[in-house]
Amino acid sequence: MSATAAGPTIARPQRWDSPFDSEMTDAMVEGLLEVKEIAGIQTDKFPARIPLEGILKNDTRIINYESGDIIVRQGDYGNSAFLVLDGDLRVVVSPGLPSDIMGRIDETQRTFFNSLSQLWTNRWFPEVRNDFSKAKTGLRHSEDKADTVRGVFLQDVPAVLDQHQTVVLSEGALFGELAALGRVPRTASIFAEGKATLLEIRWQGLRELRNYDEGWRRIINQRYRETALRTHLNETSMFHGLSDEVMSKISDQCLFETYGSFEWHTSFKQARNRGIEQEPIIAREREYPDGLLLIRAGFARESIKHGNSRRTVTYLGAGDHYGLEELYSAWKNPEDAGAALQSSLTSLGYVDAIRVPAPVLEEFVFPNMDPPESRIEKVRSRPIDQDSLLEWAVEERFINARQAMVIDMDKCVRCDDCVRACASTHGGNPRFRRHGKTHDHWMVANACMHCVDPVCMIGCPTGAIHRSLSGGKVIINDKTCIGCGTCANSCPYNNISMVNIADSSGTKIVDETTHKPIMKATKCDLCTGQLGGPACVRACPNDALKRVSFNEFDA
Amino acid sequence: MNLMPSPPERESEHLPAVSWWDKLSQRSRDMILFVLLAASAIFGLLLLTDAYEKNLERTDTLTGYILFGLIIFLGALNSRKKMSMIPLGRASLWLSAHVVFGIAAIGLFWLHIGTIWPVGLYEQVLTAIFYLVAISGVIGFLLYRIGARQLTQSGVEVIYERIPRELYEIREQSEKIVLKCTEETGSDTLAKHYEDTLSWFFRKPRFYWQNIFGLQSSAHWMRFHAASVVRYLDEKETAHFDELMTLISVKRKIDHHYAAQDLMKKWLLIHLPLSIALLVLASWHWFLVEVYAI
Amino acid sequence: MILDQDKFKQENSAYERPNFPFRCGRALKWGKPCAHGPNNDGSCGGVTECRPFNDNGRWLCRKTGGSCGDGPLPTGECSQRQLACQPARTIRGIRMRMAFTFMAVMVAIIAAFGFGGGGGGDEGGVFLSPGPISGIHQNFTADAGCESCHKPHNKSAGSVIAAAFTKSGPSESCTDCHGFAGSPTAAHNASFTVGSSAAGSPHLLKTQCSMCHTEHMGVDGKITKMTDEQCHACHKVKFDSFTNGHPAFSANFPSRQRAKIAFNHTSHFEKHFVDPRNKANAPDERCVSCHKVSKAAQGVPVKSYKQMCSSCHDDAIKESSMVFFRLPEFTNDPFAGGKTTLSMAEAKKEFESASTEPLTPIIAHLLKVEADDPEGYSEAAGQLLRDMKETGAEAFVPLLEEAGGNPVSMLHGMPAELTKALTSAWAANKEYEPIDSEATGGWFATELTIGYKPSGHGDQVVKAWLDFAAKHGAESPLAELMDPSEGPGTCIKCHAVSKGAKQAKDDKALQIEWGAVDRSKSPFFAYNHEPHLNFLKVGAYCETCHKVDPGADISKAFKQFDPMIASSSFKPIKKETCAECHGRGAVAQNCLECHKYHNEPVINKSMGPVASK
Repeated sequence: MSATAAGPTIARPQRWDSPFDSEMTDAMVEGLLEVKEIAGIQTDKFPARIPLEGILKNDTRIINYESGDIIVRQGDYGNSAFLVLDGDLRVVVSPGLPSDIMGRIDETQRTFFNSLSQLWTNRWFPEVRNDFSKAKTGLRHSEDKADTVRGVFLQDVPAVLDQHQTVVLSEGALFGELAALGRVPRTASIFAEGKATLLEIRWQGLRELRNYDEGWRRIINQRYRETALRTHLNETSMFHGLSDEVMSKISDQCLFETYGSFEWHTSFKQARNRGIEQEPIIAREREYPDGLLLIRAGFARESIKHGNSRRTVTYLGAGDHYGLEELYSAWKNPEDAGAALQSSLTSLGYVDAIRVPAPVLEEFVFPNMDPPESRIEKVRSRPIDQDSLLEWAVEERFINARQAMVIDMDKCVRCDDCVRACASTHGGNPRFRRHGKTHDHWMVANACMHCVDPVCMIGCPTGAIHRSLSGGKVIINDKTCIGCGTCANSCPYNNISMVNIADSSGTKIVDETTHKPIMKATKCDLCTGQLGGPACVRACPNDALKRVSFNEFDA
Repeated sequence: MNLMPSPPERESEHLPAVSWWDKLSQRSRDMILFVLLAASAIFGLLLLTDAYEKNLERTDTLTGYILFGLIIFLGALNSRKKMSMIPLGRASLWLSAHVVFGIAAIGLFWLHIGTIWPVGLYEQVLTAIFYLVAISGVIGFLLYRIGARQLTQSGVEVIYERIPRELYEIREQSEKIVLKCTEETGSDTLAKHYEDTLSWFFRKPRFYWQNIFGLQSSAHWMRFHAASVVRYLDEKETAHFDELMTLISVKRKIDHHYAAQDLMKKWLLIHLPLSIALLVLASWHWFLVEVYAI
Repeated sequence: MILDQDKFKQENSAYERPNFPFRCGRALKWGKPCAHGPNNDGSCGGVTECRPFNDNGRWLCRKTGGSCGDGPLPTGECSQRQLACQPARTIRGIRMRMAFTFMAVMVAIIAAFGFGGGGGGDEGGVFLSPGPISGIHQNFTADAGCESCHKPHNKSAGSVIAAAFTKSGPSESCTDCHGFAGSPTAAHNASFTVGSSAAGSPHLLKTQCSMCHTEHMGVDGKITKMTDEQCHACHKVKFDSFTNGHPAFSANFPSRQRAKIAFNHTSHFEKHFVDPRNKANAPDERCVSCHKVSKAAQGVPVKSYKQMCSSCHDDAIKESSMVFFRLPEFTNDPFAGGKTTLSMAEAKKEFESASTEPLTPIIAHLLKVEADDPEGYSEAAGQLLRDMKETGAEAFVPLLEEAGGNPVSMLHGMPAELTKALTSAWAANKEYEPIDSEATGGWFATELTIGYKPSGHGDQVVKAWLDFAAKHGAESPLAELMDPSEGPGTCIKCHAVSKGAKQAKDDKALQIEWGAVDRSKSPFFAYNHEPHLNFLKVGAYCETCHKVDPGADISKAFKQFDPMIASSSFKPIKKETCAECHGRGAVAQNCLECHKYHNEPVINKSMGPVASK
């Protein structure tokens, strides 16, 4: 692809070039090594290039929390686990704290008249804001850097304790590892009761600890098996109808595997340019499978050889499996040697998988199962132009999308009715731009796709951008957004826009001290709270606009 | 209407049998249903007016009220477009209804006035405005169907409001190329040719009507001017000229977009104001009939 | 730019706002549009790129999206300045303005031209009138203008609005000028009521002019042109065309009723005209000898009696005398109470009546006595005789008047001396010796009678007496007068006696039809002989359609008094005869070709301009 001409050189980037917290000192690391849970780790199990001290110094940080600070918010995505070093924390038991305390948007649907009133309350002055009342969450600023927001805190801790059921977490408690390693949302909200000191371990460090230390592995795996794995297996259709005992046996034998880069969005562009050859390989065509792969999170590409290149069969996401056909036919016809994998599996970004060993399947699952359908033959017989949309979607990583805005340009008359409808449901401000990458006569417009893996949410200091608890939309709480622009820069698809807000007379608002324009992050919110669902779809007079997920999109 | 030919369908195994109804786009399905609805309504109305006539009752009161209600419904499309915030039905459904019932309104209009051109000045004005609205509507509909595909197949996509910016940047870029060429090669052949002819092309969108009617005029013009100058350019200059040609081909596509999108927006300047005038005059007509009709 | 890889980045591509009404003026002129765009008030927003902020004496750039490289000028102004452009409206903005303009223009046109038209030279109302009215009506409404027919025109706003809600009575405007023999709101303007089952609709029970007539169709608009379907609205029997479904003509068509004159065409053509005895008087032609073809219209009227019938029938008429008075048989001398020159002795002799006859029915009726009862009538008759002797014809006058007759016409020409001479003789109980006055006609006397001999056809006295008799009905003794076998009844040989259709059942009065049927009085029948004359078959002529019925006997019909019992010496005309030409795409066969709707339409007003109200 790229020429091998001689150019400028740099040293190869190292793993710990960007430490989690650049202010971790060796002294602090020393102190950590004395902590009970860490003291028990056998340092010699760690490889020389990833020493325990290195992990502690570069992949962890120590944070002091004040009373009321929210450490993790239920439903949020996070990349860190926490070890309580000192102090008490409270875990809020289900149903959890109200959304306004948590800084979430109120998603209750509007009444008909309220919706209709938008007709005359909308302004055509850009980005007018009328409500400057304070959010119910306070913003905790960093001690040394006054304009850096560190997090949000509860205003009234005693009231919360009074009104909600909580469980105490004390010194030595480890939490958050599921979300960090598994990309699942935080299962509960946890806040500091009084002052507390926590060791935050980012997922890279946690992974190493799990890989190399027996104790930590046991704890993490056990917790994982007890909760997430069991749930995942229960939801997989081929395990339906099996007794609890059998399920326990199966889950005990499952292995966890991860592939690829967790932070795929930052290397997204380079990955795209390098192409399929550079995708981390999970399984190869013509090799023999030793277990069924259940995809837990992330995306994998299933491909077959096509001339000197590879052709995509499909992409697999959470809930999909790989290798079932081949394992089944190996079991069914043991003398038939042709049970090799018919396709290769590579990871797009990262993949978290569970491997179910073949003997387990042969003993418990295959006898009761119908033969699985063959996917590969269907693809082989199809001409390649029928797959070009899929290939393009995988290339552009639109597979991440759950609600991609796809516009059929053959039908679109460029009338902007969709943009106006979007504006009519957002106070007169549209929340997407009617341009985007095109393929054949399809355009994927720059509107938030409410991704399966919303990388925009990583790094939001206030949690203003969050995922709706009903599991669907990714929404920005305009009130708590501080306009830092992290999400806008993180989004690999450029679907978030920063805007300068204005008052009701249309004058742009600036900060009172620095006079810098006050910005807010804005994006499509799938018309949360509006009647009738996304207005853009309903407003297109030519039926050109749809919100789709690419695995269901039948062009 | 799929204008893009596709390779022959293979007898593909696992494809489930899809009925012809499911193969149609949502738009086509809506239209078919509305055509059936309109046809039966008109048929019913013809039967009704026939019964009225046989009973020596006036039919134009009946057809008049229906026609008035119909043109109000047709005009309500404009309001629907502004009210996507409440669920009032898909806008594509409204547009299909608008098109079908718009055509039906022409027939109903003839049924109402009993002739093609009435006697009486203000009625003639009303009829003329009605015809203009109807014809402009039909033309607009055709523009939409044909223009959308033309634009998609042009190979670029550009937002109408951004075209001036795009053209400015292309123009700037092209001037840079020409200046660079002069600097690097020392000859001003290209620069002079640019000033004489090519700069005209870059100044604003050109070949508007030719683009609308699908003529290849801009490509033709470019080939001519390229051929004219190329014979005087040496290798280095030709390299610069090639860069310029890339820009020109992009600009041509933008011109096409400009022409098609402009017309697709401007035809409404005829259709909408006239339909307002129609509504006003029709209301006056209604008032007169209520007061004066014997 | 369009070729850039990062053109979709949010810092390079702000939201497009279709509802924003302005666009950069530089963009309009294909120059370089500024990044900011017009301000909310429509002024240029790109004059500067930011408003620099003074932070402790240092001016800092405050551009959205990051500082510019140059920074503000020392004066605190933005360094990136350019001349203001003139922002323009977007296409949507222009469209909004155009819509308002068109609406305003239309309202203005309506306001300017939509009123007026009040007649008398007021040329306004061109945006009011749905078209010119027909040429005929235009002439008559020029003065009053629209108000001639439209009452709410040019009135106050309140009454105009009220008119929108009231149902106008259309016929009021039309009947200002148009009148009919019957009600304008009855079907056919006739007195019969439309059955409620007509076309199944109560709407048709009371008709309005506007149900069929439409105005404002232009100067050449055909107000009176109708379709057959309009007739079928009420008529129960519906059909496609004259040839296809039109009911057969009635059994006696065209003789719906018997003629007033009992002229038997058959007997005349077959017997009387060919009889050699009548050769001198018989007509040369068949039909046209008597029927005036030059006046052919709905009927072809006949010539006068004198032209047609007198040559044969005059003699018989002159012979048919009427006996008015006959000296009846008396038991006693009616003159006894009076002065006489007879001697006493002669007076004492037994009275011998000179006459042994009864009274004439006339006198019996006048005296209200029995004609053949001498005992009964002697006194009254005697008195009458004595009055006759004294006063002459005057004696009859009070009697006639009391009986409801008209003495002047009934006794016309009776010489006063006649009764004197008669009664002188009768007083002497002798018969009178008459002078023969047969030749001259009129009142005459015989030995015992006073009679009247008609002077010819159309004799007024005989006519008066026959009318007098008819008035008393068929039961009365006077009916003898009408006996066609003798006397004045000869008139009845030809003239029919009928009972009027509108008479009450117990009203005995009859009437004698003196004139021939006037067919032009049939208001709903549009047939006209005149255009058909050119199409008669050569040789047959009238008998193309009116075929003589050989052996027809029409006398039966004339023996009774209902004129609607038809009888004709012609075979009925069948529909097929007409359909030979009127049908199958040949000659017009629409309803109005032969039938009329309105009942004798007239114009109420005088010809000439209508005075403004």
